[in-house]
Amino acid sequence: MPKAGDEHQESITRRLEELGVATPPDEVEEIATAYDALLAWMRIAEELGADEDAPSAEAESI
Amino acid sequence: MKAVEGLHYLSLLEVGEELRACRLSPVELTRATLDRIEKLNPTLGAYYVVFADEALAQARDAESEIASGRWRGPLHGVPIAFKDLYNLGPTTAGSPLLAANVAADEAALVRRARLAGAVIVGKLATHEFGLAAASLADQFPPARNPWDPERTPGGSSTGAGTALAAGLAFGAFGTDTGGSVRLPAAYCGVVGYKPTFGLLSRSGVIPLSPSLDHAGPLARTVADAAALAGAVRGYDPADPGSSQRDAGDQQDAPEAGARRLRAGVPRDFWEGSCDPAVAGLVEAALARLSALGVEVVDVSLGFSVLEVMAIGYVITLVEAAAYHLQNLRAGRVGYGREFGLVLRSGLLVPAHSYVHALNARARIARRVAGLLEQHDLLAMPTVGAIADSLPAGPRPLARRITQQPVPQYTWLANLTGGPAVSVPCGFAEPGLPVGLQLLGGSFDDATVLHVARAYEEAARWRDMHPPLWP
Repeated sequence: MPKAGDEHQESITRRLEELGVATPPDEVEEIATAYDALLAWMRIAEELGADEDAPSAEAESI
Repeated sequence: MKAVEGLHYLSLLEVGEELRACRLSPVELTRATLDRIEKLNPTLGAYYVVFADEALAQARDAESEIASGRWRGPLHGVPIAFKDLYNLGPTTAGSPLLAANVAADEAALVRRARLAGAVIVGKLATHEFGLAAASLADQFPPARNPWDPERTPGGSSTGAGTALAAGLAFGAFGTDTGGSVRLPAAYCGVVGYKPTFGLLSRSGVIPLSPSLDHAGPLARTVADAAALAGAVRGYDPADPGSSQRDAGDQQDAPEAGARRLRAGVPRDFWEGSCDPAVAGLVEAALARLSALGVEVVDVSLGFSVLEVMAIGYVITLVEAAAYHLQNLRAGRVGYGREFGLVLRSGLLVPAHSYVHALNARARIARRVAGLLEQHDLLAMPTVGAIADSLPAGPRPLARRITQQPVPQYTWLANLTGGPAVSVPCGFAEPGLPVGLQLLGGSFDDATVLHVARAYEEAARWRDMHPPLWP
């Protein structure tokens, strides 16, 4: 039976390994259960904090 | 000399005045406080460590100085304590990782409290590194709420809330990254004051999130909290966030603060998330403020508590993970399960999300500053819940990182850096304290303290103490 966040476990493991932080599988599993909420927090940050002055295709200079 | 029996619920300023007038002995007061700690701490767990001999020696010095006319101020000879994130003797941050750590030096505020003549009786319990919730399974027994010992006193300055509510100290210093001074104050029925960012030095305090961390006092009255901060505030080049600006006199008479002021009430920030019992008490407190002459005006913040907490947490997770990364890489054993999971989650936040969170923080701070151009302060609940039961073991990470958090309205003032005070505003079923929070503009600490004090004087909730510990 798949659990919440199962689909994130592989990428979480890879990211933490890249940073050199060993993490037991049961901890990766628990981090994955909260990962969707963490992504939601990051989306809130992007919605409220994206730089409105960033250049876009429409704003290309002459 | 006055007998010390039954003085444990007096305010710091009341005992300070008795000491100054030599009607009370610092040694006897300290001995009585140590006796009460010895009697109640095994049950309440406020203190990790008690400095009995050192405290009595400090009290003897205070007694001879005061007797010879060298009174240093309102803290002179008064028993206070520090959260176990301040460098001072055995300093664990509530973590098995630092169980054997003894600080090589003392935090700036500890040194300044000593200079003010305070008697430092011990180190107070904390959530691990100021974040992970203490549980009944921890190596360090959790502090308990004096109003119901099966419940949390709130955190992360858990022991400070417990000690003040149970009469085990006359003042305490905690830390506040997202509400850790004001939340235990609300849950324990005492006062928590987060001064403007930069007013109190954090040098020698173990950090959680340096851009949000504040030092701040807990006390039984607003005037006590102001006196504690006033005794130790001031520029400190050892703290990169320290400010050379002052916040003015904070000791004015309460009647000077309430009249002709405008309080903005951003109900859109808490409606829908706040426990109705808490909201009802806060509405009654707002009516009381109005009766005191404060013009209470509806305003719109334009941000939800989830948005504000999400921004605060993204910043905190990243900054905490950066601070602890070296230990995590080295595989150091000793982090509690929840805190270790939180740190690893912080490592998963990309740099652009951190930058977005910083931008969002600035946007929220601009909105609050705009409201404070038209209003002297903002009023709201401290937290939209009453104290929860102590967890049996480490809390699941999904309780911390969630889209339905316990609504902590405290984060707002950490994002702005402005002053905020939590003052008791009544009791919700089943007899647990609730806090009213007042926020002000940066360096206008005096206004929030004045209004909090005026409310406190009128409401008199400060006269209520936990019946279990007379």
